[in-house]
Order: sequence, then structure tokens, then C-alpha cells
Amino acid sequence: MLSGAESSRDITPAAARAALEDARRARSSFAGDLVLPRGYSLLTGAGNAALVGGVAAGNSDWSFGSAAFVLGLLAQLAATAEARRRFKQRNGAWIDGLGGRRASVMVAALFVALILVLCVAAAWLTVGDRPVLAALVALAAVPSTALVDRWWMARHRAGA
Amino acid sequence: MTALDPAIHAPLRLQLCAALSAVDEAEFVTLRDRLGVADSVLSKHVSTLVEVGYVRTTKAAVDGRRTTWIALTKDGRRALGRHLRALQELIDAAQPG
Repeated sequence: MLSGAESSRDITPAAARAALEDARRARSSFAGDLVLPRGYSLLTGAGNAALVGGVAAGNSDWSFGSAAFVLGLLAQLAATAEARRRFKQRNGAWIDGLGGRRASVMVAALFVALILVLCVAAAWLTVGDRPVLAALVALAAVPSTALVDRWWMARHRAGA
Repeated sequence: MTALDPAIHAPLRLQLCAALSAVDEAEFVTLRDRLGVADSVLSKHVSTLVEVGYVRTTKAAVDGRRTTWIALTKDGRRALGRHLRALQELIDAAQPG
């Protein structure tokens, strides 16, 4: 630690520049080395699809609607937990997307909004007695999640 | 002029805090390998940062092995930001004109 007698005036500009560079390098190299583990997006996408499908079924008058909603929610929670475990195992680190810089937080917020839109669309289609279209909307969560996952990682790396 | 933070100023602690600022939490062994230091050295610096409230640690079991996870606290992130600003001000103050 700096002793009580030391102050900013005791640090030369060259030392300050070197320290700043070291800090920037430590941050950006760690962020740059983070990768999505194999199957991460498929797992989270499948979880989101199950959630959207569950919401649609839960909003229907089908006899198994409530059970489907609960199953969809549980599947989404399980997929998220497994994806998190794989990410931590692969990277030795975790980023939740909400504690980062504004750009990555914005991407995370947009993604939540997208899933909500898919839920509303699938529920609306189910009420309109179009279960096949509702299922397709639910499945759209898989590629959407994969795209957003990659975009979000890129934003995180760029912001770090 | 913003003051340098004595708890962060040591080169290894600055790199540790900077690396942690890129993530929400990181595993002890990952940080040890990235920084290229021994367990005992990293442990000592982490303890210093825990004492001032800039870092928190949690124990967890991953795939049957016990691991320690380290995260910057909000105070730690703010302190790191101030420290980096102080370094930049030192550099700017030395620029002619």
C-alpha cells in the first residue's frame, strides 16, 4: 500500500501511465477471453422456447394449460441454471449482463423485451386457436436467443 | 485532484481489481493463473481488498470440488474508477499546455 507519507505527487506520470495501461490490459484481456461454451445458446434458447410455449399454453383453455405453464417455467429455470454452470466452468468467471456497461445492459433489456413480445404473440395465437403458429413463435426464441447471446458477448468485449 | 487509493495502488491489486471489473465474479484459480502469481500471494492481496470492503469472496462447490469466487463490490468498482481517474489526471497534469 501507499504509505501515509506518499501521495499522488510521489507517482511519476510515466509510472501512472504504466499502471493505467496494465489495468486496461488486465480488464480487456479477461473480457476478450470470455467465450460462450458449446451448446450455451441452444440451451438458453430451448429454455426460452419452453417458457414462451408454457405461457401460450397457460393462457389457453386447454385442460393441461396450467401444468404446461409450470413445466415451461421450470424448464426455463433449469436451462438457465445449467447454462450458467457451463459458462462458469468454461470461463472461471460469470457475467450476468446487468452489472456491466450501458451497452450490454441495454442488450439484456432488449432481449427480455423480445421474450415478452414472443410470449404475448404466442398467447394471442393460442387464444385465436392457432396452436401451430404459436409453437413456431415459441421456437423462434431459439435462434433469437443465439443471436442475442452473440451480440451481447460482442458488446461486453467491446465495452471492457 | 482525485487521490490515489492506497488499497488499490499496489500493481497486483490494481490488476486484480481491473480484471474483476470485466466480470461479475471470477474463480480464485482463474485469477491466479491470469495474474501469474502463487496462491498465497493472491490470497494476501484478496484479503487486503476484503478488509477495506472492495472485494467479497464466496465459497462454492463446482463439480464436486470446492472453489472460491471473488467479486468486486459496488464500493470496489467506485474506488477503482476513482483510482483510474486519479492516474489519468496525473498523466494529464504532466502534459505540456
